[in-house]
Amino acid sequence: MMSELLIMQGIIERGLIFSVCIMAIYLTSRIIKFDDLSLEGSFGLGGATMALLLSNNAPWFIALPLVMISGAIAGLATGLLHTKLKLNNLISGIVVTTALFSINLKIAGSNMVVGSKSTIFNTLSPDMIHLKIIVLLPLITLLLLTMKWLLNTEYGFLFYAVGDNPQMLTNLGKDPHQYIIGALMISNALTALSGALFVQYVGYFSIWASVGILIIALAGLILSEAISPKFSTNIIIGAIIYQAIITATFEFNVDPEWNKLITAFLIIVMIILKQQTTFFNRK
Amino acid sequence: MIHFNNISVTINQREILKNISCTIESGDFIVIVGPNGAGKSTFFDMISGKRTPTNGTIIFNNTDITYLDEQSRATTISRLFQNPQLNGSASMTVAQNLAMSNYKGKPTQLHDGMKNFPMHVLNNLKKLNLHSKKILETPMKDLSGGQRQLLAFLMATAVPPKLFLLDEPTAALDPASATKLLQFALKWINQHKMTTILITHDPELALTIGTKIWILENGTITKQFNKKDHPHLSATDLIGHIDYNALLQ
Repeated sequence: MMSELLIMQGIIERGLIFSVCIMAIYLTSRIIKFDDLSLEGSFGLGGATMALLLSNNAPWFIALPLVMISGAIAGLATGLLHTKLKLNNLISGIVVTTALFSINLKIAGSNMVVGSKSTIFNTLSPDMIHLKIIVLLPLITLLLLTMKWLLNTEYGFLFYAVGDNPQMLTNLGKDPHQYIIGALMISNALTALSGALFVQYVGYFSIWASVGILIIALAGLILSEAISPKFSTNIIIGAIIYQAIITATFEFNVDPEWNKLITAFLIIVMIILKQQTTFFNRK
Repeated sequence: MIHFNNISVTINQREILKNISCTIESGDFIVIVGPNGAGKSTFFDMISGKRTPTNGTIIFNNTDITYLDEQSRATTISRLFQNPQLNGSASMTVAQNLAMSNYKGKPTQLHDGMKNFPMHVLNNLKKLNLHSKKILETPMKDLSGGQRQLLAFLMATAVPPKLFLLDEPTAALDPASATKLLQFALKWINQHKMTTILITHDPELALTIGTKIWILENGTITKQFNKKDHPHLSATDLIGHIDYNALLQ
């Protein structure tokens, strides 16, 4: 019973961390309708920056904002490549992710252990430190509420509008490029934050941890959209369901090396199911 | 109010507008007619700032705006597009779209997006029977083409411009919806003495509304009629007619 509770707790904790990536991918893919592949590089950038800062004894509360700034710069790079150099959005993201792979290696190498350093989870007393959910739940809830608030402001409205029809922003005397870049900076800052939380959670940085993050976030997004298409708690629930599915495969003794394949199949099945339901609803 | 001096626009080495010189006076309601490919939409692109002239100057109230970009001109020049999709945000509700129309010319704020909803449009929404809570909460994409263009009109005029460009706004509408939009638009334009340019393919419409008719052919304005001076103009005088005899041969 105890071990089952621990498994459940782990699922929720990892779900909470990855839900931040889903918030990011929702902002890019669903709101500004820009499929941003640089999110994958930003997750690693956030992890590498966090690992480097922690190993140099920077306090976590200074490191986290710096991590978010590093992610925002990656988003800025993607945005500028797309808006100023007119690169296709997919190419802009791939270029930035590829460049970030080298940068991340230079920042933290292929692995960097931070287990002995003081992280955000050390705010818990030593006998509570295994209950990381106590830190994560309020933090991620606050983040979700902040994003919900932002999307309801004039900026948020214009993010939706730029995704639907950039000409509308021009009609209003606003520069659509500024809003595309702004949203990319926010989403990459969020992804970097997620990477930084993950490094603190597992106690080390690995360059391979960021590989496939985009597809994990996409799977979570599709699961969350099966609950509701809105930007709300469904995002956290989707992320947790995804983690539960992956954890269940461990229970069935599936080799973890199949994880990415399972995720890919999950996405295909979810998309087909979604198409079928839309088809039947229409009928 | 706005002078165009020797304007040319070349796209892909093809001269679309050729040496156009003309003046729009404050309060004018000009209807531009012309065949397909004459350069009507490019003429609007040039006025709105979407395209910079290859040659010539544009003087707006004694200020040279030739190189001013589209978004900087948007607060003084408003454009209603033929394609309803270019006039609003499809996934957002009618109320949200109307609220955004009031952001024009103001810095974007970090407060509730609905806070500056243009209450003054409510009266017009009532007149157009678009004021129900249900319609206000409907995403724009779920409205009919006619309803979308009516709302687009309200959005384009929520912050009244100095010059209003109507780019075949009824081209995609059925006759009943087109009549409703034009009726409402004409009333509003007359009430506000709005300087307006309308592009249409319909010579009958050009004869019915507006104060001046310009014929745009092959990239130049070939004829200008002040309607007061030409009370007996006919559709054939404007752009010719369909040769029905040729169809029977």
